[in-house]
Amino acid sequence: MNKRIFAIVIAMCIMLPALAGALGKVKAASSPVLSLQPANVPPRNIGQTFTVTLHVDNVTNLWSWKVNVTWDPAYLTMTVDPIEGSFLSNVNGTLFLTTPYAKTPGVLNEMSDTSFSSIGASGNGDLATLTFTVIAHGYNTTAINLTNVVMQDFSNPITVSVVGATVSNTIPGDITGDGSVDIYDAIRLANAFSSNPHSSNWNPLADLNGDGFVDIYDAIILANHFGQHL
Amino acid sequence: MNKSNHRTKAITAVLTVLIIASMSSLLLSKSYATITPGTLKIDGSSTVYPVSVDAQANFSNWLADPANGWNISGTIVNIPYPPPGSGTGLNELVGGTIDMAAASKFPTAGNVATLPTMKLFPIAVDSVAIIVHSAGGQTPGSLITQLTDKNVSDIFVGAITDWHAFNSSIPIGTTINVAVRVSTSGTADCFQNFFLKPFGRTTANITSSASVETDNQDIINLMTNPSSTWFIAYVGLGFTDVTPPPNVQPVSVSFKGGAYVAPTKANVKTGAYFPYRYLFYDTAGTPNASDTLLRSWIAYVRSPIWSAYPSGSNPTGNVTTPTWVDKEGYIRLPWADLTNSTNVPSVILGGGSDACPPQQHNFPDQVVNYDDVVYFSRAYIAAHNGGVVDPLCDFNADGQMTLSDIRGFAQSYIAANS
Repeated sequence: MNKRIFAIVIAMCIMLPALAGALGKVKAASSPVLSLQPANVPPRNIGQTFTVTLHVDNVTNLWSWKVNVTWDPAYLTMTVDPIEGSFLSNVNGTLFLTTPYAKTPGVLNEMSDTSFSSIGASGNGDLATLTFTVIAHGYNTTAINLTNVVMQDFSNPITVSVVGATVSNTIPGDITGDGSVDIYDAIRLANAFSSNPHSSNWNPLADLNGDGFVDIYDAIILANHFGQHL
Repeated sequence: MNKSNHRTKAITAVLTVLIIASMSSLLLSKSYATITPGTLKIDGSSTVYPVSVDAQANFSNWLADPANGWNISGTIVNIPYPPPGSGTGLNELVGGTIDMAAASKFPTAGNVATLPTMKLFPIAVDSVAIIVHSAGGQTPGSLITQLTDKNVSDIFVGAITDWHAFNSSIPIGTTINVAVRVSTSGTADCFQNFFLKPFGRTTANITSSASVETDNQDIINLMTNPSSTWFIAYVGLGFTDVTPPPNVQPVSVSFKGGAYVAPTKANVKTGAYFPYRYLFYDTAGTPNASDTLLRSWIAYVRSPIWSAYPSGSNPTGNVTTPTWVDKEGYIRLPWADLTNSTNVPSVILGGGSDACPPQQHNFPDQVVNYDDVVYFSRAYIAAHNGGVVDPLCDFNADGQMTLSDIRGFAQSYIAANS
């Protein structure tokens, strides 16, 4: 009998931390997060466009949202209107509105979406797609930020964590960030060759096409820009 | 063979239903084609009167112009002159002798109790300007350019009767002549809210020596008369802001000990000049589908798309085009600026008559933004769940919240932010 009690106590001692850990993970996973995806945009040529998706995770009964988007107009420009994502519109009819992207360079004020039903959307999904064009290169990265975020269910505000995106604004291949694509960048890429994020020699700056591998395709990008400089 | 016949009949029936349905929707989409000739009688505020008269001729021309697609003649909008004032107009509406009251104040609690279905359609914001006579640049003119709100209050209740109290260069014994509006006027109501109530006074305390005028134009007629020396009066801002009439000088006012502020539209918009009031068209209830004339008038006057002047013009779709509200010197309500106006529904529901409390700005905030998106969406949902249609959001005044209202809101939002 004593042995059985002892075994149960031992088992509980082992299980409780694990259970607490699991609960902690569940709690952490349930917090709503509003983010731009991908979080890291690889370098692009001048004139090249790319899209980032406004994405929400772990939200419950989202009825209406609003966000301001800001970026550095010296490097990026927005030339088309944002497109509504399917997350809210799949549930109900919506009123998706944005202020004109050209009104203030580098600022998109009050992009919003509101349901025409009191029923909201829950889970994860895309709220909008933003398209940017690279207009100049720099030495490092430039940010796309989300500000003045408002999310609410029909009656109450929803607290949400916000994560923007980082755009590498260097010349594609300028891994060292010195403004030129040269032998030093080739050495960096060679050192990281055949790596992925789990590799000891992984260098995210060498992943020039942003596919999670440093391989021949990245080497081709570097080769195409070899010798270029700011 | 029988099966084939059945299928053919079924397909024919479905197609017939679809065709009829599509034709019905086409017909319904031209809702204004159902406008019928008739007579619309509007009476009340002398402040709203110029807007009504401007719209009157244009409205009839617009309906009668084949180029606009209606080709309807025989419509009469009856606006009696002189306008008797907001209070009388509201009483006439409650009594059922007119179709619509023009009002520059909220209905009284008694009005709402008698006619609880009353609906208010705000068309503009106005203010009240303090004016002094200015023949020859003085009398008092340039001798009195600014007063505090307490000064104004003291003058109008007769606590101060000598201009010398405000400028020592004016001889002692220069009597202040006071002109006011009848107490039922909306202009008098706004004056009371911002110049009398803060000091524990009402229009009942106005000095018995005051000259009482029926409407704003009577005040202007008095003040522009060269012989009306040493007079002070108040008048709707729209009567002075566009072009001050001859011999009339607006006075800057310090409210609550603040800086002296000129009575201009710009200062009212920012809140620097405190007094403000809504201008309304009030109806006995939400216009129903058969009230096509009433509905089209409200939509025509409120919408910047339809009310662009000069007369006879087709709808331009340009929401920045000046309207009669602009022409007459009032502050246009941005079509989709819905927030900070919750006092309107509360009054409609009988929440009280004094919805213009002193020293408090509560009219739409002149910004069409996310707050308005949320307000509009909630109103839309409420209406579609059996709730009351919010007249602020019913842009085409048809008593319903439909796709055309969503389109109207979205167009105004985009225009306001472009």
